[in-house]
Amino acid sequence: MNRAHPSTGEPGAAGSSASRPGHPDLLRVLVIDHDARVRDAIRETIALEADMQLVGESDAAGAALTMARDTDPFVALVDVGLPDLVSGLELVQQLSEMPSVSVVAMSVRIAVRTAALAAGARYFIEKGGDIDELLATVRAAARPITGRTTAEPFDSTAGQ
Amino acid sequence: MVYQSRGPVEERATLDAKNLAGLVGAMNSTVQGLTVVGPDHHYVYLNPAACLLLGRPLGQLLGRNFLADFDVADQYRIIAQLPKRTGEATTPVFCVLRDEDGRQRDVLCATFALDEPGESSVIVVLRDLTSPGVAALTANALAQSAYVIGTGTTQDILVGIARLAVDNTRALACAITLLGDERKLTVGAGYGFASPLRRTTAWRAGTITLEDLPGGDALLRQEPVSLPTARTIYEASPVLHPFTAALDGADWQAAAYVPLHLGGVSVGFLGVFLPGGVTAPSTAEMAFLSALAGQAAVVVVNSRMAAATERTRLAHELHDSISQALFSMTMHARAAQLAMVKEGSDESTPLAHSVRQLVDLTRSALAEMRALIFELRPAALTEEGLVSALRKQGAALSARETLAVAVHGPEQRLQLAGGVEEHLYRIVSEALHNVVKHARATAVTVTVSDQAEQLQVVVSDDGIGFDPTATRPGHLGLATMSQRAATIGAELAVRSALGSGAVVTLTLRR
Repeated sequence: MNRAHPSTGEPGAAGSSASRPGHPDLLRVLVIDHDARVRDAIRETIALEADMQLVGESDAAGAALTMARDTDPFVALVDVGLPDLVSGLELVQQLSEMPSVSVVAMSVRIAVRTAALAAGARYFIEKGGDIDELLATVRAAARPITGRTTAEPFDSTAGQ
Repeated sequence: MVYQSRGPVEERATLDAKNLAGLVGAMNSTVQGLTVVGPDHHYVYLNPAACLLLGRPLGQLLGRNFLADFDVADQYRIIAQLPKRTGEATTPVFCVLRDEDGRQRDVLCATFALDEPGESSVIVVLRDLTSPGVAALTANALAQSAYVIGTGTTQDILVGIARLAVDNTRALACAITLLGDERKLTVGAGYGFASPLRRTTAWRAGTITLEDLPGGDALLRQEPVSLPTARTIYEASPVLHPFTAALDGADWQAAAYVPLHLGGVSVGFLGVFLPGGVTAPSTAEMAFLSALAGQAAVVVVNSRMAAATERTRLAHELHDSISQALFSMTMHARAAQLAMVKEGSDESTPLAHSVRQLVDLTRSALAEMRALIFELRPAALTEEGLVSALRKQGAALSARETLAVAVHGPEQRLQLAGGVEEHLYRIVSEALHNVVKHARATAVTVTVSDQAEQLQVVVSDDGIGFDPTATRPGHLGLATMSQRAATIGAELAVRSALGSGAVVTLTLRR
């Protein structure tokens, strides 16, 4: 299942590889997780953040890469267990190799943290922690090391 | 005629007519059934022993399809094991021959390829397993063969082993009994009984213990037991009576047990019931039964490990799935709170209260999930480290109980030998469990201090305390805790007095 989310400001820009969907000033996020409950909840959470936009969601590794190329996110939030650890880590590696994407890996198991970071994830989130912290981590992942900033400075609502 | 075998061996012996005559003579007098079977699977040669085993005269056997005398299931297995080329190693197949009267003989069937120019034949060697003299080596060989161990469920395999015991010794019946937790006995499998043993309610309920069995303790010491007057004892015992009932009508007197054990752990025993006039199994029979018991032990231990592994796998899946749901709930609860704030909702409304409850409950459920992983996978403890794991457990406890749990300890990982951290974790868990159950405390502190000469963990609470002299060690799990401490060479000290809390100190000297 894959879904690209066109920005409300640009009607008709959905999914086309020629244009870059999404509001240019917002922090574009892609979420890749096999669990629909998690994708739904993340979608709702990001919708509440004024400075972020969910540009796509996917439950499969292969489609995720295509979607990353199409939607050009700042940050890819990836569950490393998708659908198993080997494929998940491979996906993290492949996404990390895309120069303009930062990967934030997540999992219910803290044990995979080292492997996820070694595969190229910039940060690792153990699912179930504080949500404000999760959002702060996503913002941190979008910062200058990728050479990208959002157009407007945004308020870091959560602590560091 | 000169015959040469073409195998992987470099040196090839040549048989001339004189040697061949001698060899044929040997083939005629050996007890093993030697046959040659043509490419169409028909017998072209059989020695006298083979005719005896097959229960038919030579005239009837020549030209007969060799598979015809085996059970259908065995036929497939034998075909699967037929060598494709000369020199190919094949596994002997344990199978059952049926003669004209339907009588069964257990045989070991080994096949070898024979290449004569122009056609390929197979030598089929049949080894009768019904004679006790073959004993332990044969029992090992056949029981280890994949065809016995690999087929069917654990139950099927144990029945097969019980059957081997009955068919290859004078035993009238054989029961494989399993030893579980708390020395409870259950029937694993039986063969040769008139009525199924498993229907016996007491045994099925698992209330029989090793103490109920005469000679039970010897089995724990991994020694076989011989009971020449078993029948008298069994008939008099209400617990053992079901066995006599199941042997209804049979003329039996004595019984013998052979322990099932692996790696020093007793997992049950194999019991045989012997016909009248036989007071104990012969030396050869005991060797055979011991070998079978050895194989049965492997089967039982493997199946228990497999069941445990499967349970752990399922538990992990459940843990992960619940964690995913809780994670999602946390986000939704937060969204609800933010929405209320945005709408300027009154925080004292029932809705606001419910949302706050939801947030708290979700947080506590998550904390408990995090601590659960150490129960599911002890290796997680080694990855996480003692202090971090204790913090998680502390968080879970605080969330669940009205108890403040503080964990103090070094940030860096402790340098401890493998498994020691797990034991320490379990001892502290037990101590915390006691605080929750008995102390009625408001706060408990766990302090881990890593010093040069020793590692110390102190669990201290502000509860009602207890009188150490008046309490049975088992009551507060203190005996278990001490035993665990002893396992890793640590000392456990408990200080308490009524009304002034308790301090549990665990010291591991380096």
